[in-house]
Parts: sequence; structure tokens; C-alpha cells
Amino acid sequence: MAVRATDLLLSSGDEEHTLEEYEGRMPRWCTGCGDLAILAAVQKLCRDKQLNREKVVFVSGIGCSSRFPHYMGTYGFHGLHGRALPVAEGVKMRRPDLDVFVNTGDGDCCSIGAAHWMHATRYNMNMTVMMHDNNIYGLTKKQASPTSPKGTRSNTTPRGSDLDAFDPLAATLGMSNLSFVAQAVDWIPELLYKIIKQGYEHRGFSFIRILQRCPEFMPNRFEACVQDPDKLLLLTHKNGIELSPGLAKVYKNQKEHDPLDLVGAQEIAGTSERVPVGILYRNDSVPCYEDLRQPTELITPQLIRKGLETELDKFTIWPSD
Amino acid sequence: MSVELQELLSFHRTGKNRALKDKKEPALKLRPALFADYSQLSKLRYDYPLVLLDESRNGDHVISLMDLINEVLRLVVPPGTQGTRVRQQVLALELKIRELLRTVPPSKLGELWRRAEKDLLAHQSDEVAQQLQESWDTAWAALRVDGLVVDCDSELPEQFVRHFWRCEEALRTKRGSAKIDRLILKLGDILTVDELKSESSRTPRKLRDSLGSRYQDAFDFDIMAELLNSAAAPVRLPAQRKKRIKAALATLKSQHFFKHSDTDASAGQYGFQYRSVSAAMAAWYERLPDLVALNNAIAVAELEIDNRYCETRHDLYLGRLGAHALSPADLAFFPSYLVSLSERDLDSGEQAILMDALSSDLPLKILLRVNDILGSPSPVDAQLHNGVRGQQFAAMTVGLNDAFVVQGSSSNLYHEQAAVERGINFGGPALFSIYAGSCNMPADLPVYLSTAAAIESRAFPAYSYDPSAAGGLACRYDIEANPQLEAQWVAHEFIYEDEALQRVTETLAFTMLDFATLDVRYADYFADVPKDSWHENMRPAVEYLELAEQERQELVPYVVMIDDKNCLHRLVVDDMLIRVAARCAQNWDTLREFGGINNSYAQAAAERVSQHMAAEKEQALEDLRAQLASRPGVATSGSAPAALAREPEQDVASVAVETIEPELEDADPEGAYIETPRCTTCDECTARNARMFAYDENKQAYIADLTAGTYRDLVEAAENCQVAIIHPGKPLDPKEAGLEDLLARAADFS
Repeated sequence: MAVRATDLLLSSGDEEHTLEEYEGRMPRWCTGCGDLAILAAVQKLCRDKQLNREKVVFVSGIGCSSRFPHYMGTYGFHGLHGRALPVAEGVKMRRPDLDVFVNTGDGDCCSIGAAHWMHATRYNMNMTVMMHDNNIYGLTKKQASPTSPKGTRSNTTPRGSDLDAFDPLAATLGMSNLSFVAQAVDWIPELLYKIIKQGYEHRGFSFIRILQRCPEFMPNRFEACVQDPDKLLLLTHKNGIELSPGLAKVYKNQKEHDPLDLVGAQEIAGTSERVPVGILYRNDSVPCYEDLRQPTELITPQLIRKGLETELDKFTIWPSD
Repeated sequence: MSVELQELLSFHRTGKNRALKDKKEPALKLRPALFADYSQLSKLRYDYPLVLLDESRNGDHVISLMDLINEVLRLVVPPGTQGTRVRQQVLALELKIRELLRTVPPSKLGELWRRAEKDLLAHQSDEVAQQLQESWDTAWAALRVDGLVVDCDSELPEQFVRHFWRCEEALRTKRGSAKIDRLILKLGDILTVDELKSESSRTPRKLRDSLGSRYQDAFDFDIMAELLNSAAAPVRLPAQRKKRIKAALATLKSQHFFKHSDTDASAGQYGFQYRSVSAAMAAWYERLPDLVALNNAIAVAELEIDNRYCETRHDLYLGRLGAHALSPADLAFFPSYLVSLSERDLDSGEQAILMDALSSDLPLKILLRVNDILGSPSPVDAQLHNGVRGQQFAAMTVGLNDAFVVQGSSSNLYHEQAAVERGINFGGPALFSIYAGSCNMPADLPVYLSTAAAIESRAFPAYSYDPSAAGGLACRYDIEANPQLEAQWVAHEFIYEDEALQRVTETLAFTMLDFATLDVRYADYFADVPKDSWHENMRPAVEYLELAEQERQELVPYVVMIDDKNCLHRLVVDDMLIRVAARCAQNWDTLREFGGINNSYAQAAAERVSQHMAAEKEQALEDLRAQLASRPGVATSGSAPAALAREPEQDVASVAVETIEPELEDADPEGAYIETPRCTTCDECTARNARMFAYDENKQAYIADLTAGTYRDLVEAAENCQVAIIHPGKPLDPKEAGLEDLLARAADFS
């Protein structure tokens, strides 16, 4: 079928967006920070998808990773600690036409914002959530976060943290109405890009935990994994991630895992032998909250006024006759 | 040859035999034998009447009364004896509704239900009446739908197609209105925001009004206005853009194709239902400038709202987007036109306009009620229409290959509803050619039977043709609505009692000749043969049709009929009608071939392949036999040993193409390089020397200029790289200070 007039006009030499157009301010993360790799992957995704910059919103909370919106040449909302998800939900509810990305950290998401995370997963609104997990509060100069390994010495745990680390993957895989869970690492750019891309393409709440190096406060946390490919377990499937020959040659530990298999995903997340990387779970049939709550009529100023007056009239004291 | 046979043959061959005609039963009292079970149609439960639903349910716009009652019974009837009673009571009500349909004006199901209740309760005792009322109330509560009840009559095609058209158009109009209202709102918002940036919006009075009354005394609005106006002037919309938005807004607000949310229903809206093609076409062309303007205004609005309108590129296009540029995708947004026609009212001029309209891309939905399939017998002998008159418009339209075509009859519309819906939603023109019964049929013959006979006899086969369907001709044709697709003629079991009151079972075919017996104009082409004159050379017409010309000598074809007392008769058929029936069969074969059944090309190709494979196999066997024979000590026989006769199995492993990804070109071990795809963009190297190291288009590092730094820079970058992907290679300057140490450190990254 021939195109509509609008599409015809748009196709008349529409300019191609370059990666530089998606760049915002100069990043102020430390040299060697894994956030830089995540930023590069996301900017590449925006370019490859040719997203309209004015139709993209990055929402964040507080923390190193939450500086992300400043570094994107799109709209952004640098919010309050732990509150990235409710802000993103509000944006999506009112403007479902926008592409919404959320950048949150392990402290922001798994500690103060944990309740929002649980309910955002359940709401399954169409957005891509990247949890930058460096296992530490970096912005405030090293305090233990929920995902810090047991024994982590920090400003708040000088004798080493007492508890085993919280597992965000296992926690998410136990939440209701789940639709997409993946894990990536910042030091394999090809895989990082592919996972974020699949998260973006999935219609629903795409939760991607990204293991991210912090060279300043947790310099050796992931060093073993970076240097030894055998420490990773790459999840492959024709409906998930398919590895390039080069990557498959280096990373020999591979497991075919159907992203629809929730029990299998929970089993993988529960094992601590190797770090799983790939799509753990994806279910495209879960309805999105913004679709379920789509207004049946156009929200006009007149309609809002009418609604308000109806509500206010309930409290009006009418003069007696 | 006996005298009796000569009499029969003379009628069959000439159509004239006074003696035989005088003996015959008046033709109109006879019916095809297979009609025997349908003498009291209103007492039977079948798929008519239909309920045209007021509100579509699960995507269905119509449901048969029988299906609806069955559904209700499944929901509310309790198991056991109690259930049997309720079932009977509800079925009695359904029967009453069927009877009422023949006497009361067109009504909704609810009205008919209440009327039937009232009639049935009139002579019941209070106790029985209470029981009945309880059962019917329960059933009615489970119905949850209402709508006009229509029976299978001559008006049905128009009621049915119009109902579907209205339902689909209601959805389209709702979507269109919502879209236009949204565009108006968004464009209005752009202008409102711009207006708020104007000086006139910052006057003390405007500022005071914007705050409300309670805290007005707390502010000095004069100073506030002065302060605001002294600040840098805000960026306003460019005049050209503002003008463009206002023009688009005005067009959207003044359009007449869709209802606006703030106006009364249909006020000022265009109508889209017509009784002639020329009137519909005239309306189309009259409204075309408005349609083009609205279409362009929508395009402008969508681009402006997304901030994607670029004057340098789009002004040029927009100025040239006229009627010729309207694409099917554009037209799919606008309402379609429904034209209701009767074939008998079409003069030659209107026929030409009809074909012209159907060959256009315009969204015209044309309902053509066909009332005459066979056509009148021509005054000139041997010049019949050959039974194709009623099919000509549908066949011609298929030939255009641009329009959606549905051919069917009133009796099978319920089963063709999916095709009707697809035709209504088709982007271009659609023709619905529906046989609605004929005035040349007996007045007491129900329309359901006469129209069903048209389908069963292959005189008017049902099919749809969708030119947009991918996958070849067989995918575009859908002939599934016809009974017994694989058979030339539809056949049914026929049971009767013979003279000795013994049960006899026969299989009777229902041919185009049976259909012709219903048409009063063809009465003279049949002759009723009294039973005492039945001859052994008489053959059922369906058998006769299958015989070659030379085999038909001295045989007389007949069709089996019944009279009003259910006694069997045989009608001898004029040879001219036999030729018409043969042509009807050929047409059916052609249609089946179009629909993918018995495709002659595919059959021929399959036969060729089969022969080729057989020859190859035989050759392979011959070769094996020859090999065996040449071996000493092996006895030759007529057939190869079983193991050798088996088709050689293909060794999958041996033929599988091994796919090996090409290795990346080996890097020069002497030169410095970076494994760019593995770069994590950590800024280590670029921060060290931004001229030597740079990022590519994917923001991953590569060596931009090896001469822009020292070998030390390279080695230190390699040492600090988080993922160890920098390989320093050999130094460019052999005299660089401390080279020995640097080479030793670089060795770790070679």
C-alpha cells in the first residue's frame, strides 16, 4: 500500500541523525568508569533507531549513573533519590508516544527505590530500565550498597559489610507481571548493545541489570570477570541473544536458554558459579498498564474543567431556600 | 424404437411434442425432489432469521437467531428434567418469533420477544404462565444483545451489507473524529503557548485574571508586568509557521467528513449512501478538493505537532500534493461510499459508469442485487443466455483485478460475513453481487429456498476475490462457501417409499436443471412424463451430462420432481437446457481451478515431474542391475535386491554447507593497533592523548595518528586500558629514550 501524505513528506530527504546529535554535556564520570560504555551503547542505539530527540526522555534518580540524562542530547529528568521510576511512569502515562529510558543505580533502585521498582515491574509500562550496578555508592565516595558483596569495607562498613549481597536478578524474577529481565556487563560492548537493543524493542517494562566497573571505589570488583571469560555464562537463544563468531570463540561458556522459560531463568539467576549474561526472561504477551488505562475520550481543557467542577460541586454548600 | 421412446426423444431434441405436453402435470406445482424436506420452512430451525446487532459483540456484527438461542440455552439451561422443560419453553418462544416475522413489520429482537411472550401466554393458566415467564426472563437476561431481526427475503442483501457498512464506518468515523479532534487540540496548544509569550498576555489585567481572586491583593500586577516585559523577549513562532498552523487548524475545524466532538451528531456532515453510481461519483468529485485540503492539513498538523515540518523541503511537496497524489493509504482514512443498486434497474449508461467506478481506486462499496440468474429465454431459438447473465458483473469486475468482489446469495450471506467485512474494509472499490431471489420463481417458494438453490445448483456459485491477497490466484479466490467443493454437482441422499411401501435410498444430484425448473419462463423446456410412460432409456440428467455425444443416442435425460402430494415425477429436459447445464458445469470447473482445486497447470506440472522422477529411478535401477551383472558370481534377475532398489539416502552431513565465518584480518604484529569492537569507551586512552587516540562513529577507540605521540604514550595507554585491547607493536622512533624498558613493558600486550 502506498504511503500516507505525512510519510511521503517525511521521506522527502529526511535528515539522518548522527551519534553526535545524541550527545549532551561532556561526561564527568571518572576515567575508566563503566557508565561511559553504557552511555556509548545507548547513544549508538538512538542513532541506529534514528530516534527523534524530542521524543526521547531519560529519567534518573540520584547517584553516579543518574547523571545519565545530562549526557544525552534528548529530554531528561534528573529526579529524586529512588524516585526515577514513578517519574518515568508519569511521563509514559501522559505521553505514551515518547520513548522512555530510566537510568538508576544499585543504591537508587534496590534500596530507597525498591518499592517503586517492585510496582513498576508489576505495572509493566513500556520503558527501558538500566540499573547500573557497581556494588557501591560512588557519588557519595564509597558507602556499601545493597548489592555490595559481604565483607565490603566502606565508609559506612569500616570493618566490612555483614550481609550477603542482595540479588536484583533473583528478586526481579520473583515479581508479579514480569515481562523482561536481562543482565549485561559493561566490558563486552557488543553484548551490552545487543541486550539494550532487545530491551528497547520489547514492548513492556524491560529491566536490564548492567554490571558496571567503578575504577575509583571498587577497582577490583569485576576484574576477574574482565580478565577471565570463563567466569561468565552467556545465554543464547534464537529468541534471545545470538553471539557473533568472534565473541563465541572467546566466551566458551554458553547456555541455550529460551527467554520464555521463567523457571529456567530463576535457576540460572540462583547459581553463583558464573555470572549469567543475556536475556533471562521475556514475555511479549503481558499487557502494558498505559494501554489498559488508555482514556476512552480525548482529554481536552473542557473535559478537565467539567471533571473538576463535578468534583468541586460535591463540596459546595448551596444556599438554603 | 418404440413409439413411447420416439415421443420422449422428439421432445428432448426439439422441445416440441404436443402429445407429451398435454399429458403433463402443470409445471408450477412440481418442485425438485430434494425440496421434499423443506415444505414447511418456518417449522425448521436453521440459520435464518438474523439479528443485526445494535452493538458489535466480539467483532461480530450479526448473529443468527438460532445460534443466539443455542448460546443462551447453553448458559442458562440447568441439567436434568428441569433443563428439558426450560429448553422446550425457550424453543417454543423462538418458533413463535419465526412465525411473527411473517406478519409484523420489521422489529427488534426485544420487541418480538415480548410480543411472542404475550401471544403464547394468552391462553395459559396462571401457574403455567408463571413458569413460562420465569424461563423466558432468565433466557432474556442472558441474551445481552438486541438488534433488528431480518429474515431471508429480497430485502436482506441491502439490509445485511448496509449494516456491515454502517458498523465498519462507525469505527472508521470514530477513529477519524478522534484523530482530527486530537490534532485540533495539539495545534491549538501550540498557538496558545505562543500567545502566552506575547506582550498582550503580560498586561497587568491579564496577569491579574490568571491568578484568581483570593490573593490578588498580595501582588502588584503593574510592577509584575513591567518586570516581565523588561526581560528578554521570548522566542515566538515564526510568522510563516504560525500562518501554516492556523490554516491547517481552520481546515480541520471546517471539514465535513467526520463529526466534531463539540457539535451535534451529523450536523453539516456529508452523507455517503447512494442509489446510483453516477450520483456517488458526482458527490465524490464535488468533495474532492475538500478531501485533498483535509488530507494535506492532517499531514501538516502531524508534522507540526512532531516539530518535523521543514519549510525548505516540505513547502515544495505540499504545494504539489493534489488529488493525483492521494494514495490508497490516504483514502483508507476517509469514509467509503455505499451504493445500492438493483441489476434490473441498470441501463447501459449506468452499467458503463459502474464498470468505470469499479476500475478506479475510489472507496466505493457497491451492492448489486441480482434478481435474474438465467435470463429470459431468447425469442430466437438456441440463443439462451446460457445461465451466466447474473454472474456477468462479478466476472467482469474480477477481470479488472483492482476491486474486491463478493458473489453470493441471500441464503448464504450469514456464512459469507467475513468476506463482506473484508470487502467493506478493502482500500479500493468493492462489488457485492448478491442474488436476492427472482419474481420469476413461484410466489409461494421461500426466498431462502430459491437463493439456496442457486448456490447448490452451481448456477450462481459463491466466491470472493481479494486482489490484495498475496500468494497467487488461488489465494485471491475464496470458494469455500460452496457446498461439496470437490464434486461437479452437489448430491444428497434421498429417501422415499416405493409402491410396495418399501424404503428406497438414492443419491440425487442437484443441478442447474433443477434450478431451472423453478423458473416459470422455462416451464416449456421440461415435459412431465406420466409414470406409465417411463422408459428404460430415460437417464437421470446428471448421468446424461457425463456421457459423450455418441453415448447419448436414444437416451432421454430427466430430473426428479415431487408434486404437492409428495409423489415422484420425472421431467424430460429439452436438449437446449442440457447444453446450458454443461456450460454451467464448465464455469464451475473454471472457478474451482481459479480457487486452486484441480489446477490444470499444476496437475500437468506434477505429472511431468512424476514421469521424470520415475524415469530417473528406473535408469538408476538399470545402472545398478548392470553393475551387479558385471560382477562375477552375481546372478542377474529382473529386479534389483531390496537394498539396492531403495532410493539412495542423501548423506546430510556430506552435503551440508559448512559455514565458517571469515576470520578477521590478522593485525600486523609489528604495528600498533586497538581491538576497536571491544572498546568500552572508558576515556583512558583519549584522555592520555586525544590526537593519537580517537573515537569512531560507534564511539569506540582507534589509533587516529600514530605519529601524534610517543611510544611511551602507546605503552602507558595499553597498561591503563581497562580491557587490555591496546597493542603497542614496535616503536616508530628507534631513538626514543628508555626504549628498552618500554619494549619490555609492551611485550605483555603483543
